[in-house]
Amino acid sequence: MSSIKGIVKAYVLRAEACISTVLRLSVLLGIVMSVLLIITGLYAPNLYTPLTRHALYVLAREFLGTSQISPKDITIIIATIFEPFFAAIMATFIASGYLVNTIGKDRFSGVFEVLLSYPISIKDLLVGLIMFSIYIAALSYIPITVITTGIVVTTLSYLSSPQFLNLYIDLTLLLLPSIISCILISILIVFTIPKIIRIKTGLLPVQNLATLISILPILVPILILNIIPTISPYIIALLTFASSIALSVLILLILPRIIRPLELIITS
Amino acid sequence: MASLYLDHVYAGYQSKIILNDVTIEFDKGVTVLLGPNGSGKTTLLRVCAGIIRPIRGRVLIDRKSIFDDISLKRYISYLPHREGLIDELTCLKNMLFYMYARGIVNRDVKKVIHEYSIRLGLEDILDCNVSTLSRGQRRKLALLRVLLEDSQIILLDEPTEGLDIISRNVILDIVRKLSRERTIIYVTHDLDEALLIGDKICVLKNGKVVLYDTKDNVIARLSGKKRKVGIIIKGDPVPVFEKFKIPYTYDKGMWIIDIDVNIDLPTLLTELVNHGCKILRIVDIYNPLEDILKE
Repeated sequence: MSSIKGIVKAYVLRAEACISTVLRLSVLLGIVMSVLLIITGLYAPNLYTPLTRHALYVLAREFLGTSQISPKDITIIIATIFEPFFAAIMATFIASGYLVNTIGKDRFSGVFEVLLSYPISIKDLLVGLIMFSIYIAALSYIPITVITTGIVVTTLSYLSSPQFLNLYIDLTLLLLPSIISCILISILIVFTIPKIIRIKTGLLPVQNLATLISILPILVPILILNIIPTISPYIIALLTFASSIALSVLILLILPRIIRPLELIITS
Repeated sequence: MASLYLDHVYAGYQSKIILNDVTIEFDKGVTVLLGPNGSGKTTLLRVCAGIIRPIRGRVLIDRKSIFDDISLKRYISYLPHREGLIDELTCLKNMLFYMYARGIVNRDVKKVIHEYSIRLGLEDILDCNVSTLSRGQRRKLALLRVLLEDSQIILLDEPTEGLDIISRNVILDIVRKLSRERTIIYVTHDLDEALLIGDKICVLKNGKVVLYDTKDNVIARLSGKKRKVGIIIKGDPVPVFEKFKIPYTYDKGMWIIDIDVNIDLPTLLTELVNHGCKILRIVDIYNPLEDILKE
């Protein structure tokens, strides 16, 4: 068996130990996030920040072609355009949080020290860690998306606007690669600026600044959407898709070159 | 039998040089690495394990550089000071994780793990989470990994540190058996252990090898010098002292004994406990081996 297959198998075994916790956390976050967004849109749209409210009104006018915006219209925009972004953010929070924690623990407990004494290269080790993160990301993204889609479909049917479901699906699919780029950013941060991991943000389950920085590929597009709502969300998602793929390739190319074994074994 | 040779090795972290021109060949049997804190023992193990690339010099296995051909690392098993165990996995899964990572994947791997775990008395805890294990069980589990890897060169960084005497003896017994066919480099701070387990003694100081010789030669250097130990004991130790032919005196509640440097103090203490004595305090008044470290 080649070294890369072995290390991937090892990290998949490692990820399997997290299945139940990740699933529980994802289901809980998926339900809470989706329901809160919809209920706020329907019954208390004023709770959104002025910037988001403005963006929602502009998007509603654009997509629904009406000047009289009701809470129902706000909810359609929330469900169709904002939910895919939040679902991706939640999944990334969980995957990136687990990854940062795992790398920190492995560094501290000497796991990397043992692995580096094996006939495997740094590149193999990185592939193992990336596969671990993708596994966790899939474990969290699938239940979150299933729950979110269920709630969005129900909401759009209730509001008699099923035609918007296509836009929701397009955005959901276009945002998928950004999760990979977020994971790679986490790995890059953990190995290049490990001190960041110790900066706690107090945001659960993110916990640290590294995770917060890693979600920027999804956070930035949603901020742009808030600030300049006249840009089509479809275009923004498309740009996110393209930039995520480019970023992922770039990080994959530079990561093996910048990581040194010493960074994996020194804890202080 | 793979040989390990360090050829004028300089190594360190960032700009700090820890190993300073180390040239040494490790043979079959146990070589004990001794030295004060910061002398470079762990760094030497990491260099031997191919983790830290030397700034200068070569690390050779069978005359080939380990850093030019990482497949040579298959000859090496390394037990670091931190055991490298994953707390959230069970003991069995920890072993499987490392076996997979090393590329050892076959249908019998679980069976082999079970067989080896019996040798270490770990068969009942294979399904327990590592986080629930005691320090001794963790060390044994880490050693189980080393056994499973079945390598010709074994690097052990203080494998018995913090263990009770029974667990320590189990581990020393395994190391002794392994050393018949393998090259073992064993780091310890315990001078008793060094003389008990080592075939060769290597003393490092400020990153340099200041002594590398057989145990017998080291003991010969200390000929005539006795180790002086003070022990406060509840009970009568005299029969045990006489059995071991140890000269003793009794002063202000403390038994002061003069023993040969090659007598294993923990074995003597075990004998005392078996005899019904309760050991309250032990003080190393003078240990001639420390002279070598201080030289």
